[in-house]
Amino acid sequence: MDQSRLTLESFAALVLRAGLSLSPSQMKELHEAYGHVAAMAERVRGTPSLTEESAMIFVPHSTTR
Amino acid sequence: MLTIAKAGALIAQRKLSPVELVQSHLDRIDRLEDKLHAFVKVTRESALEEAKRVEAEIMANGPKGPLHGIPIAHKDIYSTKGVPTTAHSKLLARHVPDADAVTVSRLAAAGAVTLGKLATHEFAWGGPSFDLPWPPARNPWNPEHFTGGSSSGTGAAVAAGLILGGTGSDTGGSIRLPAAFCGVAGFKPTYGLCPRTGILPLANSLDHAGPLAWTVEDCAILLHAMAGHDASDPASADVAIPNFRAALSPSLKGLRIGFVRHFHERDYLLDETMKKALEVAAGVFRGLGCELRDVELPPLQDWTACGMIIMLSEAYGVHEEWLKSHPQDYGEIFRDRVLMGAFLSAADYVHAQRKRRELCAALARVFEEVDLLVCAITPGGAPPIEEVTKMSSFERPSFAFPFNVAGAPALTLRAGFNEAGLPLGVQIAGRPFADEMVLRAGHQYERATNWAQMRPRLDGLA
Repeated sequence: MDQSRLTLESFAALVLRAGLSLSPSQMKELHEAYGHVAAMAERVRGTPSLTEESAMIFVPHSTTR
Repeated sequence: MLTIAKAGALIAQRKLSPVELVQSHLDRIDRLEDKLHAFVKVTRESALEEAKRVEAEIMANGPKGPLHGIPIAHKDIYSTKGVPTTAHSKLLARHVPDADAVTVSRLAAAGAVTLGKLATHEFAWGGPSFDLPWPPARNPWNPEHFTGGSSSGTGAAVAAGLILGGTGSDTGGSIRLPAAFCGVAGFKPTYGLCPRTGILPLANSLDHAGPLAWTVEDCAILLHAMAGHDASDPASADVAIPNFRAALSPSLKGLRIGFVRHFHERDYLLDETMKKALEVAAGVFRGLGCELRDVELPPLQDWTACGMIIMLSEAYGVHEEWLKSHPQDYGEIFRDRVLMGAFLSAADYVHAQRKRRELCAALARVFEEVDLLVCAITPGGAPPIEEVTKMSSFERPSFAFPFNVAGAPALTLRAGFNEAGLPLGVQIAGRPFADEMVLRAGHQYERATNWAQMRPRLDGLA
């Protein structure tokens, strides 16, 4: 898996946006692991139809009974 | 060595006293626990009181079923009224629930006697960890090797004969991996078959509750008590619960089994011993009259990516507040793994759920051609515990995730031993709600092999 998708500086921006405070060693380790997770996120990204949505649905009877 | 089925029969014949049975298991825990660390807490006094109570019930009215008087224990994410439920975490070290999990209540109502709370990886994912209030469980076949997880204490305790069965949970293999590495039977039922009410969550749309025991028959007995609709779990399936044990007997002749060979020959290679063991397992099913054919599913990497993105997103949603306010109270492994969920977007989660639907459809198409699937569950035997790394979950695909993503029933049981004498596992899976068929195939396989006769040698531990 490509671990070089995001520079450490860009990853630090993600950490900041998430509101997290990480130690330098934690930042380095999580940045390395992020490459694997980013590759997984990329793998599940498809090109969904705008008119056919089969997964993200809401079933009202399950909340009103 | 007893099983639940044998002990239940002896109790019914009044040849075995539940008090003596519970006492003998408590004695065994006394001898072995300081080497195995399978328990977070042993509830000795309440177990003996309960054993006396059920013995009186049985003497007066006979047993109400095969679990009456049977010593079990619960993974320490199952809520137990008045008994700490810690998730093996400093964060919950003083957490004492005021009610039992529904499955705990059901097992108690069936007459099972609880001996205590079992070790888990922290919050059912963070382990093996050495920076928690309790040490990680050790593998009874070799304490220097990993138990698998996260139902690590249940796997170890069953394998060592400290209990006859126990509860586990499975979000990405947490019942089936310790079953494989500890050489026991572990069953992840169909999603929603066992309610999760009162069980601490890891990732709600992937979390399954289920049993581990020495034999498939014992898993069927435990499952029969645990399964059934509970309206307080929105995912609980409102379906009729069959007698899983009674369904074990019919022959497998003519059953169509799909061998998912590409999982281990293309997607993630096994070690040679494991590969041979899988071929032998496939041969056993042929010998039982099953028709085997290779089948093609989406690659393991797709299933793993989908499951992992969903698991990280949901688990981070559960733990975000504490991860920010009390990060120092988590063990390093759980904290740093779950923090990866902070860097995923809402769109990532939506894409993963769409992918999940596609993968489930692909699995359903394969199940139009076959009745069951057989595949690997681990790449080999248990590795040394020191070699399990913090981020290993992200580095390689998982043989377990497909059946969490699909919510399909999956069983792990013994398929032999490697050169180091450590157990090897095989996985059997079925279409959702074909739990009976999966258990039947596992039971018949188990009877056709002699692996269940082999127990870990514990004399060097005591």
